[in-house]
Amino acid sequence: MIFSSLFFVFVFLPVVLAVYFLVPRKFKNLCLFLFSLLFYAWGEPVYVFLMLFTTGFDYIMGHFIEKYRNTPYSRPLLIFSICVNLGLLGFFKYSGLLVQTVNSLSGLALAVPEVALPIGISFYTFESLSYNIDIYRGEAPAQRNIIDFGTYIAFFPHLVAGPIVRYEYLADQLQNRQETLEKFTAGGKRFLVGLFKKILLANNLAILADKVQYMGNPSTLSAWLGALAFTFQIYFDFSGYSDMAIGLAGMFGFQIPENFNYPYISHSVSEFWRRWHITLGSWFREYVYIPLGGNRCSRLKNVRNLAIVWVLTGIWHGASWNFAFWGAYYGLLIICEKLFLQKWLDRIPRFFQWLYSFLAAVIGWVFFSYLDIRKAFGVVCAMFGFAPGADSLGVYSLITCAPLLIVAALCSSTLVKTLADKLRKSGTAGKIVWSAGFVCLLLISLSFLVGNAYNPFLYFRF
Amino acid sequence: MKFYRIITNLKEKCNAENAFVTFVLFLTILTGILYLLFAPKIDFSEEENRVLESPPELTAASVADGSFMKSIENYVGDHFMFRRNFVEMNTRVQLLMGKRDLGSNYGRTPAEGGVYFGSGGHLYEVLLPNHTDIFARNAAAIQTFAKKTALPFYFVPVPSGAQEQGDRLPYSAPSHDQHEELNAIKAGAGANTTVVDLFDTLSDRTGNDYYYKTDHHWNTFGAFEGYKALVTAMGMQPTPKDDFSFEKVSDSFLGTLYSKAICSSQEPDALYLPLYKKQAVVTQQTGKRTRGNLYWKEYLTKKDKYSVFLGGNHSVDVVKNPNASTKKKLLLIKDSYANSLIPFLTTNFSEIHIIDLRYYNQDIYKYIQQNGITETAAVYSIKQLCEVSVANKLSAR
Repeated sequence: MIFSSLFFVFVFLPVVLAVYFLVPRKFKNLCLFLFSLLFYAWGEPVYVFLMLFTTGFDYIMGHFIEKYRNTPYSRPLLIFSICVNLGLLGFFKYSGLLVQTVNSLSGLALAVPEVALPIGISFYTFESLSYNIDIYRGEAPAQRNIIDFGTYIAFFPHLVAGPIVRYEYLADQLQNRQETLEKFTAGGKRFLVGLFKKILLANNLAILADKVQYMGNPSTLSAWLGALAFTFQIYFDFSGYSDMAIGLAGMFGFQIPENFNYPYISHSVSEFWRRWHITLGSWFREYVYIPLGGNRCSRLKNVRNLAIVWVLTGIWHGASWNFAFWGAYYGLLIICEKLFLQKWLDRIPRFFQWLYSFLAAVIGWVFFSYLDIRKAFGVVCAMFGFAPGADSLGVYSLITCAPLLIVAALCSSTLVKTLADKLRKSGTAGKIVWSAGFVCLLLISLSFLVGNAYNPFLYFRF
Repeated sequence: MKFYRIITNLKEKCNAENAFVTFVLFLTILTGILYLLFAPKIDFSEEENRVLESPPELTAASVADGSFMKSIENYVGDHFMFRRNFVEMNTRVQLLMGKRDLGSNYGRTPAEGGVYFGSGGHLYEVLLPNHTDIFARNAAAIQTFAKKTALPFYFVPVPSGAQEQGDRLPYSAPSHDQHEELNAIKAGAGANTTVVDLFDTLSDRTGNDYYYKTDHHWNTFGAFEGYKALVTAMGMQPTPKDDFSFEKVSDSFLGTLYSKAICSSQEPDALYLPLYKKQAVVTQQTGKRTRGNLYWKEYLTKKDKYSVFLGGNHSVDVVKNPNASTKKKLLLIKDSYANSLIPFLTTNFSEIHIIDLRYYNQDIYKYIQQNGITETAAVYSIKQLCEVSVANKLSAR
């Protein structure tokens, strides 16, 4: 089930909310847990058992790790838990890629396992890993109540597309949280913001991005328009999804971490990654980069650590080598920034710092959006002039999509948010205009949903 | 007391605008639920010409294969409050955003290009380059069919409106050139095959509009041109246009393209039926039923008015005309483009056996033998050949 659907908004959500607020306190987590299972089983009637297995397994492992903490057994227990979790992720997500790659390198013809990827497995695996590691480190106590633990793993707002919430962050809220009208209404507004981003911006940008990719061999103009469209599409899609997740969690009294902070206003690639998919970045920092030694080691080791983290970050996004390449590309840029590039950047005007960071992101997204790396190189070459300047697709797209791209660009800067906030604070008239605007956007969003417009789901590879 | 606390809480802590928009959201949800539960349901959308989702049945099997979930999601969408208004509003919003095409879906296989808003209120199918082998397999299967039967075979690939009226598309709109398919068909044609090229015949440059504005089919006059070219290619004399009177039976035809781009300001099409002026007793046999007329006028009161021709598509129709100019028996494999051409063709053939391969599951070669067919023809829109596979239906024998 996806948030941006009529069924979710008009059936699932009101039913969950009604039951949640009607049942007594001690059943509230159970209610969330059961509805979350329903939410997951809706699209994955079989794989819900895989998620339940992961939940049960990590619950038990958490107990043992805590019981044997500070004894020689705790480390093997943790390693066992990590192996099982990553083993499942590896089997369901990467076995196909692995066999294909072995086949193509060795000329063998091993049967490629046809395993459908369970939606959200990368997200909940990382969350359950964080649970066991946090216990091992003594940063959080093991959860006694399996329903509470299940609620942490399966909580539907963040189940299929993040944010990746560390156990330590949510541990206390599972037992002690207060649902307030303030949180509820802030959540409702946040959900709407996410819905608008997804339906009005991302889905419409997707049409342009997909069209350029479908037509193939783009001119310089088409290549740029397609790349820009995808750049904005993935931002509004992903951050919109996170907004909806945060808003929904808020309605139930939870506070979950922010995931995006205007990444396209960054002035360096390192800054971009502090603003893009923040919870994933901090997961890798916390559980991979720092344990490897982080930057408190020799420069060579630091470079190695960065390289490992970024290739892993890349491949996390999908079982295809273009994602690894995309991760490596960012690793390289960030290593360069650490070594020398940042010093150079500091000397050029702010505008060029931004331009460099933004272009780096746009080119990165080309490698991300084309599964075939050769095609991606073709598009990047086309963007830099190795193709006819314009074709009919480019001109047509420029005319018909310019308003959308301009609005998307404005919304990805802080400008729209600043203006909206100013409007809200400028007295009653401003508040009325702001509210009326929201209602209009809600109606328009509904028209896209009812009109059955293109509504792709981007995270089925994650 | 508790209530009072909630109210004061609301005033002090809660942001008024947040509260308002959340209130509006949940009011909308509540109205939507009540509407879904209690409003009278319609089963069929005339506008879109499709059956709306019926209430889903909860069974173990439908849950296990996910069809229950799909069905209930469709149900909510299909019976949503103010559905018609929302759909119309969506068209207008997209046009306001600057878009000149609607309803594309590149995630599907084969991809759906949607509809272009052309000049003069003309809608067009968006033509996309092929990314599947459906066309290649269809074309090859049809050519093989011709070789196997060894009867004279006439292949009429019909270009789409967007191909023939390119100047009316939105400025610089990309459109796949269907010459690619025509040339592939010509190149693969065997000795007994004649390919009828309609690209110049139906072109806008002739000064005539041979396509409906709101429907993907050619109009009655386009069909006549197709008929003329086909019969000429067969070495016969086509019945002159003057032998037909063209009766306007509807001026409120809103076709398939309109269904994808619903907008109340769209001007409808007129629909003409050709009536042969001379004496003729034409019968149409569909299954066990025989009609004394090719025009199923009951469709004129419905949305899908093009189905007035032969009542739409059936697996087999046999059209007989004892007064036809020849005693030849034609087997025609076709899509719906042929339906408006057949009334003209009846003046030349005593029997036309019409087979729509999409619905036909018998051995076509046996059929040809059993019915004493003397020639064969295929009338297909090129777009249909690119999108719907009929190849497997011709592989029998």
